[in-house]
Formats: sequence, structure tokens, C-alpha cells
Amino acid sequence: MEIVLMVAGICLFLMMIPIMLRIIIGPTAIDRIVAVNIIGTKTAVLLIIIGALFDNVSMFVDFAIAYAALNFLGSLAASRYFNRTRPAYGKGSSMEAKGS
Amino acid sequence: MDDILNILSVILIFSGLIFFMGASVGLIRFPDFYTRMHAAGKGDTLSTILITAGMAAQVLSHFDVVSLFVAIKIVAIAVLIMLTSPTSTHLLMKAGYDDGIEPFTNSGKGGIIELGGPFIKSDQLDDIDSKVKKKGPSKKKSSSKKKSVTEKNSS
Repeated sequence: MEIVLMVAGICLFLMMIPIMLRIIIGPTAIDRIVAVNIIGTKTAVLLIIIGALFDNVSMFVDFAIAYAALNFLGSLAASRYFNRTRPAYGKGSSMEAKGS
Repeated sequence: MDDILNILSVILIFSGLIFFMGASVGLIRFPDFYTRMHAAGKGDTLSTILITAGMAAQVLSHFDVVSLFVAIKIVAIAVLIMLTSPTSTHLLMKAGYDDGIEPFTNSGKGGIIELGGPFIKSDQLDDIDSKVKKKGPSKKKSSSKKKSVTEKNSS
């Protein structure tokens, strides 16, 4: 059973790599925030799997709850901050560049 | 009983991994911000719920009072993520729409101006109105011409 959990954890980590690529190449800021949000959610899941591998789930579950709640608060604050305060494409948004 | 729960947990964990693979491939391959949010919001939520349910079954497989409480906590994580992940996806999508990120269209121009997005500045409203007025009757004329041509052909 440990082998299954280890394979699941390694697969979760390997599938996070394309999402990290999206963090690097994401054209807009909100793309990057979405990718960070997904990685945070998956880290909460990965913490439970690590706890099951160490036979200490009761401790790691609390970490996972805190991580999921803080991840939600972080993405909420980022969405409020980037709403109408920043242009989406860095310096000078697309609408400004297009403006006649 | 233990074997049943173990097999159930393995099935749930690997189906969750398959859904997460869909989410990550969609996030890296889709052409547009909105389609990427579509892949991210649904695949991420469902895969997280499936994997946490599998881990709850895994913890319950050797039954104990402590493991029962731990399983309840894991189900609480699943419920929390089921509530919060679509909410944050919705808010980020709304923030991107207000910032004026253009959707992917076939013509490559972005169709959000014709929809009347909320980010249009007051200076640009006149230009858009003139464009719409220019476009509107010409489209109608061309369509009527086509209709007449087709009617002639059919007759």
C-alpha cells in the first residue's frame, strides 16, 4: 500500500511541473495566480499523502486544513487586488495600446 | 472490509490523478485565459475531492477512534475545497474580465468589444458606436443580397 501512495505522490509532483511552467510563461498576471492556486490546492493533498506515508496522518491533516484555507484567502486577496488596479498585460494594458 | 476499503481508495486516488492530468494538460495547452480557467477550475476541484476521498478511505481501512476523527477531518478538507475552489475561480475570472483580457476568437480580434465589456473607457465608446453603425447596415445589405441571389438561383 505504501508503494501506491508513493506513486500517487510522485505523479502529483510530476503533474505540478507543467503548472509551474504556466507560472513562468503565463502572459497575464491572473494566469499566474490561477496556477499558484492550483499548486496550493494540490500541496494540501500532497501533505495528506506524506502524512499517510509517515504513519502520522493526524498531524499532517491539520497542516493541510490550514494550507487550504490560507490558499483560498490568498487567491481571494489577489483577485481583489488585481481587479481594476493593474492592467492585465503588465505595463500599459491591451486597451491602452489599442486606443485610437 | 479492509481489502474493500483499500481497493476503493486506490481506485479513487488514481481516478483523481487522471482528472488532475487533464487539468494540468489543459492549463498548459489551451490558447486563452478563459479556457485555461475552465480547465483549471473543474479538473482541479474534482481531482482534489477524489484524492481526499481516497485518502479518507485509506485512513479508515484500519478502523480506530483516532482514524475515524482523522477521516472526518479529511472529509472536512474535501468540503472546504469544494466550496472555496469554484469561488476563487469565479472571482479570478471576474477580475480578468474587468481587466480586459480578450477571449480567443477565430478572427484573432477578440469579440469582447461587441459584447460591451465593462472595461471600455468613455473615450472609446464613440469609436465603437461608429464602428457598429458602419458594420450594422453593411452586414444587413450583404445578407439581403445573398438572400436575393440564392432566391434567384433557386427560382
